Amino acid sequence: MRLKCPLCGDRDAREFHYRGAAKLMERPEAGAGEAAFYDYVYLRENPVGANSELWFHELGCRAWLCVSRDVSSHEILSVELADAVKRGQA
Amino acid sequence: MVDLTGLSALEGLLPYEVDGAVLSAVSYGAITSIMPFRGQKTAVNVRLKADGGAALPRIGRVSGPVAKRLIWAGRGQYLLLDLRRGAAFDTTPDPAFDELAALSDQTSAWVVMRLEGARAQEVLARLCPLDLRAGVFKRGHVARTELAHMAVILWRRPKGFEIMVVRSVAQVAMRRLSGAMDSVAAQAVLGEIS
Amino acid sequence: MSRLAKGGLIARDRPVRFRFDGRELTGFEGDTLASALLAHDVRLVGRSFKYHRPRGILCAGSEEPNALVKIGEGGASTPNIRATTQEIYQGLIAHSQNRFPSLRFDLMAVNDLMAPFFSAGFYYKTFMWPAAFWERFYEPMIRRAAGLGALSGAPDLARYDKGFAYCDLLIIGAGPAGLMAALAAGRAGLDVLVADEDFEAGGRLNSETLELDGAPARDWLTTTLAELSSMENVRLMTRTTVTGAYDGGIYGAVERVSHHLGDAPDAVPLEVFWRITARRVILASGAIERPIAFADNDRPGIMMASAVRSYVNRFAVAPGRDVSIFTNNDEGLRTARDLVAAGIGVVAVIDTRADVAADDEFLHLRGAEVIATKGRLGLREITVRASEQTRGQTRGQIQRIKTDCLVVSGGWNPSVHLSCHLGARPVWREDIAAFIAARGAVPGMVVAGAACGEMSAGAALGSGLAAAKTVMAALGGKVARLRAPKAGEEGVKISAFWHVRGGKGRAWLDFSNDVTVKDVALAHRENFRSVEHMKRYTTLGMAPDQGKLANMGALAVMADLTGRSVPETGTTTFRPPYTPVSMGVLGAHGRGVDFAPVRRVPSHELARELGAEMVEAGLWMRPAWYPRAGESHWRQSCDREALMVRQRVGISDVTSLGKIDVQGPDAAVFLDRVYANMISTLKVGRVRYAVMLREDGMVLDDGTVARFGARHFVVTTTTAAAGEVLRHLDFCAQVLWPDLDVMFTSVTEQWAQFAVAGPKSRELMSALCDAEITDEAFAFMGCGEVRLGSLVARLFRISFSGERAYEIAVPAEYGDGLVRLLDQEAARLGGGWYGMEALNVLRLEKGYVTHAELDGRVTADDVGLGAMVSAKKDCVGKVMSQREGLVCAERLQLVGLKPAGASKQLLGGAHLFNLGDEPVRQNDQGHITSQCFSPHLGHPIAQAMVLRGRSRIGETVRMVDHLREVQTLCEICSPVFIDPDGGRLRG
Repeated sequence: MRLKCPLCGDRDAREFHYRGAAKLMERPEAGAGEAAFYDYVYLRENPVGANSELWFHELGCRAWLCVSRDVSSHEILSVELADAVKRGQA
Repeated sequence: MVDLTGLSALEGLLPYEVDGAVLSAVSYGAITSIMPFRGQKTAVNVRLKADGGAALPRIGRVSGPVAKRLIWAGRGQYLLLDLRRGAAFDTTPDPAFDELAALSDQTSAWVVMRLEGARAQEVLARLCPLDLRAGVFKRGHVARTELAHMAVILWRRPKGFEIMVVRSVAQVAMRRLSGAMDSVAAQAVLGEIS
Repeated sequence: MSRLAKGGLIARDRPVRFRFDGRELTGFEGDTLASALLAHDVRLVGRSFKYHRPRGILCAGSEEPNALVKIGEGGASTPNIRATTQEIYQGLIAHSQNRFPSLRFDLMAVNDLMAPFFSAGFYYKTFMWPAAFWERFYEPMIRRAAGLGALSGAPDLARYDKGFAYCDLLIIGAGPAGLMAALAAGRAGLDVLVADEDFEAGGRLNSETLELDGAPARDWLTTTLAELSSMENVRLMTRTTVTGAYDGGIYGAVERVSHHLGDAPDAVPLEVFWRITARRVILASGAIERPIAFADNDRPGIMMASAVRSYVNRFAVAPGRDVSIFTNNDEGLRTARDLVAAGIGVVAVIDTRADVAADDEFLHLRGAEVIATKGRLGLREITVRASEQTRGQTRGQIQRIKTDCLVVSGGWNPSVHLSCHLGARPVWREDIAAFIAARGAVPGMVVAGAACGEMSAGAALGSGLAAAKTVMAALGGKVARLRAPKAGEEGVKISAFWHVRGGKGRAWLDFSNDVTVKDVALAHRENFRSVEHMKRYTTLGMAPDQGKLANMGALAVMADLTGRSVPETGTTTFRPPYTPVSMGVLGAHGRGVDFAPVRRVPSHELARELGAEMVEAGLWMRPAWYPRAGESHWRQSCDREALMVRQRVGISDVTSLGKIDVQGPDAAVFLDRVYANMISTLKVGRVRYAVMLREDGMVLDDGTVARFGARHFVVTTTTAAAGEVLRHLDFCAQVLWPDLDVMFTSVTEQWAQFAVAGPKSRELMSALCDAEITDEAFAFMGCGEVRLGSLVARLFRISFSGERAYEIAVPAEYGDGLVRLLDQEAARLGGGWYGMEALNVLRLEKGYVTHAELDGRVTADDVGLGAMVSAKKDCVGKVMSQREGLVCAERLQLVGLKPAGASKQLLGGAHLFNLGDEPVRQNDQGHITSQCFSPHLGHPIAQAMVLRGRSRIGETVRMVDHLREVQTLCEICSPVFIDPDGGRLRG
């Protein structure tokens, strides 16, 4: 498997660390309460098809990446810098 | 008063040579990590140029002359490689620079090797998953990648590559590179016989 | 000798001597072991897997199921090498396998007589009871009987390598389709890699008597190979099998570098595993001829038609003197013509097709079948039955034909394997009665030649050219003007025919695993009718050849039995590798010292000189203890070192702890959010112990935070968690709070850092540094810069031992220099080095925790650090750490333990029980996390996680180690065994 890092270009998957669903980007505010954090830490969708994931280019530029990946076909649909995505949301 | 002497991590171990490839050690006098703060890149460039150097390179590129080279070293990070001894920025703090970028001395942290020769690329391809083809990874390109499970920074030179590894694994990296050199050279001899 | 007088691609001027089962033989360069054996009329080469049936050479390529041999001797030997792919070399030593005492007389052949007991599923039916027999009797017996070749049991002496390759276009197979594609793509300037498993490029062109553009095909081949080898942008790799297709255009390939050499130099690898990344791929893997199942179709002397043409045309070997041919397609007649042209007698062509034109050159029996064969160690006779009324025979007529070689052709199976590795299924083509690769089966892959059903050389060449054009259209290359040469022959006319019905005896489908038509019928009767069930029940296709010859025949038999068509019946799953891959090459770069990089601390050299024992800590090697003269047990060294620190001064290398430089306008805010305690209030020149939580509320790591400036911090991590913590900080900075302006980078490698601990540590530091180290300048938890001559060092007044202590850091290249100076100065004060063992003793005596306690299941409160979680701010993990279950009373809490009875033994991992309780899981009160002997106290001590532990100080519990069968009464106590008020620490 390969990922196209927005900074480094097309690289072998061995350079990356997989973290999990991109939902981890949406950390609740401090006062949001336990239920919100419980949802954030533990609850995940498990859809067929496109999934949004967080990967870390650990043996490369050390950028956290937001990867859209089709878990049925393994096709990589997009790779974006996580900080850019996050700031775009804000 | 004590006076400590420095010791290279590869003291007395290089150069190593086989037919078609030479591995040698390169000694940079000072290596400084420069991480510009938000919105300060232009100001950092002004300061670097005032110091007689080049501006920060683009992503994945090298800039500046050999004696004062700047390399992109990852997200938001650059390394200034100065051939002069003791030229690390942060050992002589510059208050003006303090506001512009996070500086940290990395002179001891990195060990630099040079791999050159007709088979240099073939040797590196035994250990490194990067697409090293000359048309893809060109002169002036730099990459942070992996070499036999070790994090490395490498860039292409006219006749080969410079390879930076962290100090604690320098001897391992050297052993792996020289092993790959042996393997490739021996295979090349076979190719010529048959 | 059966070597033909002329022809072939062998070098007759270069004889090669080799041995097979002790017999000295001679072949020529260009021979495989199989062709050289056939040239000496060696027909019997192995015994079958289950029934130990005598077997001969069936094929001429990597699909060979029978002729598996052991090459070499001792540690340098390799079992299960296919004689059909092994090139001979001077001095090659080969042995047949799976026979005792000899190949001609094999005791285990008794299995063949007991065949009725060994039918499909016999494992499942036979070894059911008594249950106790399984481990002691059945399994050892099955293991002894199973398998083919045996490993030497000695370490593998061979060298293996691996590498990474990139190309625009990977062409798999250098037959007519592959070479034509390579020529077109090469001329267009694409970066092309061509891989072929054979040692000669050319594919079937090497084995057929074809003409291209009116000249021998060999001429076109020679010209093409010369042009390709002159192109800088084309790499042709022979002896290289592409074994698997993976996501993202990645292909695995094994290059056999020196299997064909007897005396390769030491540095030459035996094999190289290539990980090839290609933008586009042309699969031109050809096709494999399939057998027909008939009674006793596995005798030595029965061979595939394509193999016979290879042996005759490429290796100049006659496979027999009186050859008969059994076919359902035109390949039978083609083979007959080649045999006659080579001067070999053809006694009969038995053609299942009644409606083809008779070929009068031979005895051409149309509408006929082979129903029996004779010759235990080699074919002598076949029995033929007329199934149709055709010229010269009446329906049902039986005739016996003397023959020493029966050539079989059941049609071709395109080699679709690699197109199916990502999960696609092949599609059925009725006209050739075969599955071909589905379009778009693998992203970026185009299939050409026989692999997609283009069965003639002419069509293959055309399809190779078309495939190259498709690729160039996608990659934007310029298509050169190029024409595929014209071939005279036509496509293969086939009438599907899978197995002969009504014959007596067993008809083999899978030669490798001894699976017959009857076995498939049994699977059907017992309702294992899905192909995947049938495969597992009968073990069909599960041998080293993975059913390359067997699967289609078995599918057809099952289709017959169920009344479905072959495509309805479907295929089993194709998985990598295409051919067997040695464990050695998969493990290349991963053996011995190369398994993982070893990180060396700056004091490594001196530690070695002092004879220190080293211990792994993550990837680091750290000194564990430093034995001195007279110390024969590690405990003696460890006790001495620990007491030395308490009484005088000890020095220790702590470089491996993670160090992260954090800078920026928002550095303090950022650290407040990632650490549980308050960092922003830390004064410049001060250090604070700090704890980091995971978002689920558990402790992630602990360490220190030192402030060097308003916007500049240096934080430390534990050795083991350094990588994880840095990744976590990157996550927080980029994913959670990218609005914060903070930068950090690892400085672990920049600084060589040493702990100097003990009552005389200040004296030692003062002797070392230019200026005296005073308690005013460096009070407990102070930090700053000091000068050592021209060098600027960092000094921290922190302690992990409970003693007055410092940590001094210098740039790593001066580490060795400082190490030697420290050694000298410590010795002057009666001190010296202490290793990881003593370090552990010191921290346990003081009650400090490590990752033995912070095991990912504990909260800060569990280990007595609850007060550190600041109430004044949010931080990662804060909300979740306050969940009901994590703050309730029924938690395991950190306490100390000391022995309270006759037994003094405390053991890590042992569990604790209340006195009087049975030591079972339901009564568990906790467990010991770390323990040591405290030389300071004179008895063992331990840290333990105990249910409501902090409220049970003074209670006695029973430690039970079920594995080591040790029981000890212990008293629960404070984890702080020395200096509870910190007087020694603060000085």
